[in-house]
Amino acid sequence: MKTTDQTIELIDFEVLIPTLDGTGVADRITIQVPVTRDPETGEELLTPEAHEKIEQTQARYMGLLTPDELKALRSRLGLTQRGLGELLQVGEKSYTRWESGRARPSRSINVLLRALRDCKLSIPYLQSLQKPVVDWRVPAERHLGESWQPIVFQFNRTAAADTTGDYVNLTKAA
Amino acid sequence: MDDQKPIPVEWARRVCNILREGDKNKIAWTLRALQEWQAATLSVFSYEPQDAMADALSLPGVIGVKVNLSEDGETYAFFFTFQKRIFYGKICLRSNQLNIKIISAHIPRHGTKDLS
Repeated sequence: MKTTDQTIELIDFEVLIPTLDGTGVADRITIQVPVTRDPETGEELLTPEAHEKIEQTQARYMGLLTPDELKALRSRLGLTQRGLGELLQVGEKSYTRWESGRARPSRSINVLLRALRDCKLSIPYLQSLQKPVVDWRVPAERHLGESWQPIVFQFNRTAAADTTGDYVNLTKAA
Repeated sequence: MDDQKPIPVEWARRVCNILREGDKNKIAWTLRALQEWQAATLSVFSYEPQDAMADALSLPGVIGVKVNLSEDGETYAFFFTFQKRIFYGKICLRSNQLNIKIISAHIPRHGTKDLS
C-alpha cells in the first residue's frame, strides 16, 4: 500500500463502546484518525495507524489489556507465552496472538487477566485448576486421605496368553 | 442471480492468505467498510471480519459475484458468517497480487441470496 507518497488527512471516527453484555452501545468516543485517498475512487482508506488508534480506543474503554500490558504481566510473573497460555487453559497459540496484537482476549478471559495483574489470583491457585476436578476414588478411599495408595498390578503377558484359565492372573507390583 | 458462480481458486487463495497473515500494510479498509462493520457488530477489531472472510473463502467452491469497478485489481463479492450471522463482503485483490482493499463488510442489503 503506497501510503508514504500520499497525502494523509485527519478525520473524525466515532468508536462505539459496547455494553457489558455486548448488545448495545454504552458510549461513543470520537477520535481523529489518519486516512489516505484511493487515487482511483477517491474513497477514504484507513491507514495502519488509524486501525491501531481505533482498536486501542475501543480496547481501553472496554478495559481490555493491551498487548504491551500482557507482555509486562507475563514478564512480571516470569512465565513463557506457553506457560501463561496453559495456565489460562487457552493454549500457546491463542495467547501468542493476544500478545502480538493479532487478536484480543474475550471479555471473560480479560477479567481473569486483570485479576492476575492486580494480584487477586495466584499462580498456584491457577495451577491447581489444571488438575482433574473429578475425584474418582470411592468414598472409603477418600476417607483415608493422603495415606491411601492405589494398588498397581502388573500385566502378566504369559498368563494372558494362556486362554485355558477363566481369569488372567495379575501380579501385585512391588 | 445468474452472475453467481464459484470464485476463481487462485483469487480466493491469494486473498485468503493475505487476510490470514493480517498485515495491516497489505490490507486497506475503506472508512465506510469499517464504519458499517462496527455498526453491525459493535466491534472494530479488524482481525475478526478478516478471519471470518478467510474462513468463507477457504471453503471449496465458494460462490461469489465478480464486480466490475474502476479499480486496479479484481473484485469479488461474497457472503461470509460471523457469530452465526451472515454478512456481505466485497474485496479487491490489487493487480500486484500482494495487497487487498476491503470495500464492504456489512449486513446484506438484498437478502442472503442476492450478491448484487
